[in-house]
Amino acid sequence: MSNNQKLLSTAVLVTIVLLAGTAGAQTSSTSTGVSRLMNPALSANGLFLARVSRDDPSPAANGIFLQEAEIQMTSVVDPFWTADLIVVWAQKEDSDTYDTMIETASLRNRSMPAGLGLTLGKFFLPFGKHAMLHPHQFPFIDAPLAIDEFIPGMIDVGVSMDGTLPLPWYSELVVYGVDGQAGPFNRDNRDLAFGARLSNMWDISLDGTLELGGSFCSGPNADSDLTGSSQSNIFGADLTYKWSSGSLSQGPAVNWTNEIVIPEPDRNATGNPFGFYSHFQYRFGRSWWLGVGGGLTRDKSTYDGGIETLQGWNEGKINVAFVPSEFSSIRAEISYQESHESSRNDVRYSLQWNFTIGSHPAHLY
Amino acid sequence: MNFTKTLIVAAMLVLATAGQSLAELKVVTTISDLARIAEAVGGDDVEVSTLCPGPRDPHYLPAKPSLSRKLAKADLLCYNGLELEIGWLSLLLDKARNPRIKPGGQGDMDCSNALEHILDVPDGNVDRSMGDIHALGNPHYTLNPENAVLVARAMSRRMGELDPQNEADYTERAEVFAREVTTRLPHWHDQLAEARSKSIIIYHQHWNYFTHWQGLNVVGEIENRPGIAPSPRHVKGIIDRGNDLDGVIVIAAQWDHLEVAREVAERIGVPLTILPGYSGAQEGTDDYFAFIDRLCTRVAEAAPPAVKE
Repeated sequence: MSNNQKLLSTAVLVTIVLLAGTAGAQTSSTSTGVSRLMNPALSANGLFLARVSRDDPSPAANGIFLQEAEIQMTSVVDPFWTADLIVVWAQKEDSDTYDTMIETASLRNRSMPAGLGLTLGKFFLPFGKHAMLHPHQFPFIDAPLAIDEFIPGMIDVGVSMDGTLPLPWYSELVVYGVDGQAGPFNRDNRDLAFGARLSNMWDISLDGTLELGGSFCSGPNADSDLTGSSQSNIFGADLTYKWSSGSLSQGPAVNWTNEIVIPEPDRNATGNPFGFYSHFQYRFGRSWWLGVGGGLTRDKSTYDGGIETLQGWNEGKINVAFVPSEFSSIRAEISYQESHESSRNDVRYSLQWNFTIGSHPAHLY
Repeated sequence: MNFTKTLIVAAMLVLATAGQSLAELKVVTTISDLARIAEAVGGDDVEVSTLCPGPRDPHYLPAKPSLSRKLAKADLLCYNGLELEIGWLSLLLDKARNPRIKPGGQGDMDCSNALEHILDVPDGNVDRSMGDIHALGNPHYTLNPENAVLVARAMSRRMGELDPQNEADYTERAEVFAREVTTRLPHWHDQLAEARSKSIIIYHQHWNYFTHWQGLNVVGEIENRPGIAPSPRHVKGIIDRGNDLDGVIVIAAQWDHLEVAREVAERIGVPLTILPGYSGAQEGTDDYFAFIDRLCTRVAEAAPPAVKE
């Protein structure tokens, strides 16, 4: 920044501060009382990571990072809408700079006729379980390979409708049509993306639930020569068991999530690509969680010396988390990855901590 | 032919009548105490269900979407308020997609609005270094039956607005409930006469309305910051304090971390008194009056009369 730019920035800052002070003095009636009640619920989250890799010497795999900072605002807009705005500063891969991203900017209406709900704007696409989580909600430090490989960045702009089906158990259907900007797609034409998720949940005991979900999405891709179509189709299924002790506050609890993601195979490939993970978490003390997870991906096949090889990775991880309250946590994790078709592998030792301040909305079940 | 027509008309009338009786007010409450009060006020004119069963701590109810099925059909949602349900009710309401019970809807009822006096409202700055503090005040007001009467009357008014045909019945039943409380008050008061001379150590601020109502003397809390595990230093301080006093009663709810409460009671040399947190939390406490009876009886049993010399 040149001296002139610094001078200009300082002048602008001083002017803003002075104007703010003047405005506060002149319009006290609008900055207090009812207007303050109308302010949105505001929260911020910071996520930090210290990591050492056994086999990867790159700076991205070794060091101490601010992984992500997030600001969230939620408010009722009027009798018809509730709005959410989430702005995220996420560290760029292999860099110490940050991308600013609007993660969510959406209007929700859950008072439509026939018990339907409507969402308009930019939002997480409902596909499976993990793709809808913010990084500070991840059960492990990194997303499963199956998610990173096949359905990364499932955020898009469009419209979504949801409702429950008239069945004896809880069954929710969400359908959406979006622009096609989400990770698996490539919007270089006028095609839109669309998809649906059906989630069924049963109370199998007073304290335990079983959820079975199925997801589908379809959107434009950039390489129709390879895939044989300008549309990419992805299918998913998930099974989650949750249990928490009903007889003890903050007592033992179990979360066990399994998810499979199946993209439509490329035209020239012979194998069936898929990704799978299984995450198990157990609360063994009032503030302590143990996590064990594993997963794999199998991508397109290649021929090497006449032998067909399905490319892919395997992974395993274990962590211990100290969660003194719902507003902070610190966890230590060891993760292992190996290439399916070669001897490449890596072990990472990580320590992650996060905080949440302000009025942060409760997370989904 | 005429006979057949008559039969059809009669059947239609029967069905219409049956339809009317089925068209009772669907009331959902968040906690079991409110369910018991709603049942007392609503009688046969309402169908009551609750989200948080008695044995579960309502601070930590998992927001299972399956619970929203109850809310989806509700005409009236009676919730405790004072942020007791802050971690889960908004999620369930969102999933329920029921405009009748959304905030501001005719079927949205914050029962804490009926109270005349809220305990433990923080004066001064509040932040999370104080733990999961309820910034609007202590939410466990149904442990004072006099508050339950205020809630019952408020419920009768709201039910009457939603179902004017039965308004008089709701009012009458609320007054029956109030009279029942008034009738039992002297007995509850007498039961705890001896306990008033004792020093009470509670695990969590859950009991403040009960102890305040009965004039019991609370000298310490094991969980000094709500929702946060007490530090060994604080626990030692509570034990030391208890050992300095005569006639100590240690009280915890059945869902509290009883190993800490037991250690405190053991090292003071008194039995731990485990109480039901809400109606239905222990066997034989499904009824609201049975619940209050149990609280008074157990605390009275923990406070044996002093031996006269």
